[in-house]
Amino acid sequence: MRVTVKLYATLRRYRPEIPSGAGLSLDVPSGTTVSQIVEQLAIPDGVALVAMVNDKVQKLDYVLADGDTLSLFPPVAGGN
Amino acid sequence: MTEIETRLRELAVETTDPRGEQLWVIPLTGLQQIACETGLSRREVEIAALREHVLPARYMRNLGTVGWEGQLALLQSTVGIVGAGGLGGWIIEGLARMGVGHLIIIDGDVFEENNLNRQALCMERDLGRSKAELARQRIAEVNAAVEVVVHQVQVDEAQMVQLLRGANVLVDALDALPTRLALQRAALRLSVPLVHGAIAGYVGQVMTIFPGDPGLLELYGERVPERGIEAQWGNPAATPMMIAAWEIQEVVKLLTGRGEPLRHRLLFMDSETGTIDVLQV
Repeated sequence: MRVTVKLYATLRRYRPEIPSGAGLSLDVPSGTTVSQIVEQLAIPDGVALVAMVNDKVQKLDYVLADGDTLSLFPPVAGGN
Repeated sequence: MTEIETRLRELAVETTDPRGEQLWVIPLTGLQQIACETGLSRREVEIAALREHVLPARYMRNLGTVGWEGQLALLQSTVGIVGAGGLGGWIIEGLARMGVGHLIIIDGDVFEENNLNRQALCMERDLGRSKAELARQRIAEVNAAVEVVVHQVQVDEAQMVQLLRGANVLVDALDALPTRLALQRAALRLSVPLVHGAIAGYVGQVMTIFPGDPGLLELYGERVPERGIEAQWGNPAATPMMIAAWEIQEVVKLLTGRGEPLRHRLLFMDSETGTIDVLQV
C-alpha cells in the first residue's frame, strides 16, 4: 500500500531531500504502523513527536491504511 | 437623567466614524473627570458610557470587530493569564488595549537579561524585578480602566484553581508541558475555556480547549516531555508576538461570542517555511 509522509519543523532535518510542504510517497506492507514509518525514516529513538493521520492525532501503534497521509510534528512547549 | 448620564452627555462629542455613521464619543479626559467627580472606577465609568451609547474614544477602532455589546462584554470580563514572559507580555498588552476589564496575572519569575530579545514587558532598567509587578505597571500605563490582580508565585494545579477563580477565560503563556497540563486540568475544574499557545524557534501553535475537550492530553498523552524543541531552537523576537496575537484574538472571540474559536483544531505555524496547518484534535 502507499502512504504519504509529511515532516514538520525540526523533523524535516531527518529527510532534508523532501521539499517543505510536500509529502514523501512510500510503498509499505499492509499493517504498517506509525512507529514503523518513523523507524524507516531514520528518525532516532527518543525523538519526541506528535503523529497525525489524515489530520487527526493518532498513537504510534496506529495501523495505517492505503492512501493515508501521516504528518509528524515536534512537541512545542516554549512560551517564556 | 442621573448625574453620570448628564455628565457623559456634556463631555461627549459627536463625531463621524470611518463608515460615515454619526456617534457620540467621550475622550480620556472626560472619563477621568467623571471618575474623579463620582468616585466610580474608570472601568465603571466606561461601562456606564457604553450603556448610554457613548463610546470611549480609545475603543473607536475596536468597534468594527467587537461592536458595542462586545466592548461592554470585554469590560465586564475577567481573564486569567498564567505567565508574563515571551507570550504573556504581548498577551497582557493586547488584552489591556482591547479593554478587558479584569486581568489576573500569575508569574513567579523576575526578568533576566536573556529576556530582552523578546519579552514585551522587559526593559533594561527592569532586570531582576518581578514580571508580575511590571505587568501591573504596564497595564496602568496602557489602559487605567483595566483592574489587575497579580500573583508573584510559582503555581501548581490547586493554586491555579484558587487564584484563577472568577475568570471567564484562561490563557496559557507557560513554558513547560507538565504545567500546561496542570492548567488544562485547572480550567476543567473551573469550567472555563483555555486558550493554549506554545512557541519554539520559528514554530508555534494555538488551540482553544473547552472544558472536557481532550486538548493537550490528545496531543501529548499523560507522559509528556518537560521541554519541546525550544530548548535547542531558542525563542527569537517574532515568534512570541505571532502566537500571542492569535491567543489574544481567541480570547476576544470567546468573550464577545463572535467568530469561530480554534476548538478541536490545532493551528500549527512554521514561519521558516511560511506554512500554517490547521489540524483536527
